[in-house]
Amino acid sequence: MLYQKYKYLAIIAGLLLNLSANASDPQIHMLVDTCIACHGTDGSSVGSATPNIANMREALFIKAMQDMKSGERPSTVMGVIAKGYTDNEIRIMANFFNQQQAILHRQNFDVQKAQKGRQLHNLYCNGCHTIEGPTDLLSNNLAGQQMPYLRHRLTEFINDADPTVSPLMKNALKHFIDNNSQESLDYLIHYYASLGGK
Amino acid sequence: MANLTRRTFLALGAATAGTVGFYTFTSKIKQQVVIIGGGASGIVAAKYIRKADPNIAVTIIEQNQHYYTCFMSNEVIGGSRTIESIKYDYANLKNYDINIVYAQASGIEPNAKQVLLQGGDSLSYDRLIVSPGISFDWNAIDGYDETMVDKIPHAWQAGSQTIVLQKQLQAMNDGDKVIITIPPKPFRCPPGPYERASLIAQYLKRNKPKSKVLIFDSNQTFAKQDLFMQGWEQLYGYRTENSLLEWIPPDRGGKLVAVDAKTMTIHTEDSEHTAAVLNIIPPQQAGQIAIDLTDASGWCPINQRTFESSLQQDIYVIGDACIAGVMPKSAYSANSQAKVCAQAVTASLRGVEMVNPTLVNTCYSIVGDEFGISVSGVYRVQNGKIQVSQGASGSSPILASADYRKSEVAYAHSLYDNITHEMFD
Repeated sequence: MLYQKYKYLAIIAGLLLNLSANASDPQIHMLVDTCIACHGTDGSSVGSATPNIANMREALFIKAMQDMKSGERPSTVMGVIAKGYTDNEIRIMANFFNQQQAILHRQNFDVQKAQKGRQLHNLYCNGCHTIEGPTDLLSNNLAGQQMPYLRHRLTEFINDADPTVSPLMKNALKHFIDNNSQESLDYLIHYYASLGGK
Repeated sequence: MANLTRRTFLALGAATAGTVGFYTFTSKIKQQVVIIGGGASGIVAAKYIRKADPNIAVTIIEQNQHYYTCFMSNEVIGGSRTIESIKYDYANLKNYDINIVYAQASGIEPNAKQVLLQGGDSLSYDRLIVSPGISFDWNAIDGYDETMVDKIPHAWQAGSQTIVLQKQLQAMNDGDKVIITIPPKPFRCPPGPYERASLIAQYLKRNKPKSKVLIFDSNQTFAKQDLFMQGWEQLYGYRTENSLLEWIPPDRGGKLVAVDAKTMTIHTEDSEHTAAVLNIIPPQQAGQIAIDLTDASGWCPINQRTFESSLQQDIYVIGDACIAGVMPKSAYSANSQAKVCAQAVTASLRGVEMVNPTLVNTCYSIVGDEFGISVSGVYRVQNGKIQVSQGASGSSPILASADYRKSEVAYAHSLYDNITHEMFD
């Protein structure tokens, strides 16, 4: 399990070292502006199914794009779109979105479920998906992500539909489900939704 | 100043600290970009030019106070969305210091670099972007012209026409027929007519199950054809006796020749068909104001790298009106072209080379409330033409789970929310 994690980190550290720091503003925007009509202005989505990619960790962005490009990670349009960009362009995009502040939009959530979710999050998830401060290198920002997106992704994890999910996440999820009710996953979703805009 | 890198600018700032007054003065002479048409490409070009260079003044000429998105208007026709939910206004443009003039542009004077407005006013430009969308060839179909659209809507520009068609469907009797006719390619939103037929079939299934929608097509093949047909089979009994939907290609008499509005009859090459609701989608060309920028095809040839007209200097054409290589005429294409054009215009005003364009299209079609399909692609300019980048073009797989199809509906709505947010918020 740990070996797996370090393997990913090694790959990604290698990728980041090659990061082209020389892309000009127009070059960067020519790439990242193509994402916005689905992922929202500078990566902050107002749509409920497309995730926020603003402030996403670079390593995770690169891994997600490469996994979809290779077809290993199931996707709808992203498997096609990722193919259109070179490795270097993906790094440039990762760097740009990482630097954007996520604008989190208000969602309807259940306050009690969110409170329960918060406790569960602190027990099981916060080690990687840190809310205050940066997340683990390969862990997504969950704060304020839209509920339908979170549900869809969790369902993929539970159904083992995505072979690129890290073994860490798989084990953590199994541990969570073994110790809690199915419904409690929903509490987590309500908690993350509660961290959206005021 | 805007074309300088940050470092040179700082150095320059230090060296010219004594001439601040002069700099302030020169920066006030703003270059003028005028945009005709506040749609999926026009507004986005305006915002991205302002974002790239606040020293450029941008004015949009738009004839309507409200904008109804053509995208998702098929959901309104099929009854799963309200017309209010696709209605927008331009109030937020002021937050970007974008001027909007509510008027109809009546002509372009390329030599004087002016746009003439109906009523006699004119606007001067340094660069003009023309994004007028489509117009219809009203001479193409015998017996059908623009005076009949309230009885026989085209609904290929959203708004009042969308409502006319929706109400006709609601008013017709169970057992009545609906006919949609599809013009020869190319036209706005290549999968749009088939999505419309699907969502009408969905409405019939729920409300008028004895009725049927007939598609008379001037094209032998169409966008996402296999995926649509799979959805039709699964949802609407396609290829069975009780099918809610029938598709008639030209080799089976699908080509429309004439319309008799009085008897609500269409004539094809060898037969005639009567329906309670007729939706005639006429052949299309670039919006009227761009007429002098079109070639024999009726669309506007451009430098596919910059979107500058091949026929007129300093005039750019984006969105449905332009010929953009292999890109389809979709809202996402228009959005993506606008961003490239904004860079081209900004670079041109600064006198620098623009960077190599990257363009994207993503287009979803909703076949049923839980059945979405998509096509997408990334595009670059190769040998002067917009072409698919590194094989990045494709549609939803033909083999996919029900969850997959359902998720594409969610993604379609997500795209819609983000693209309209980018346009109007």
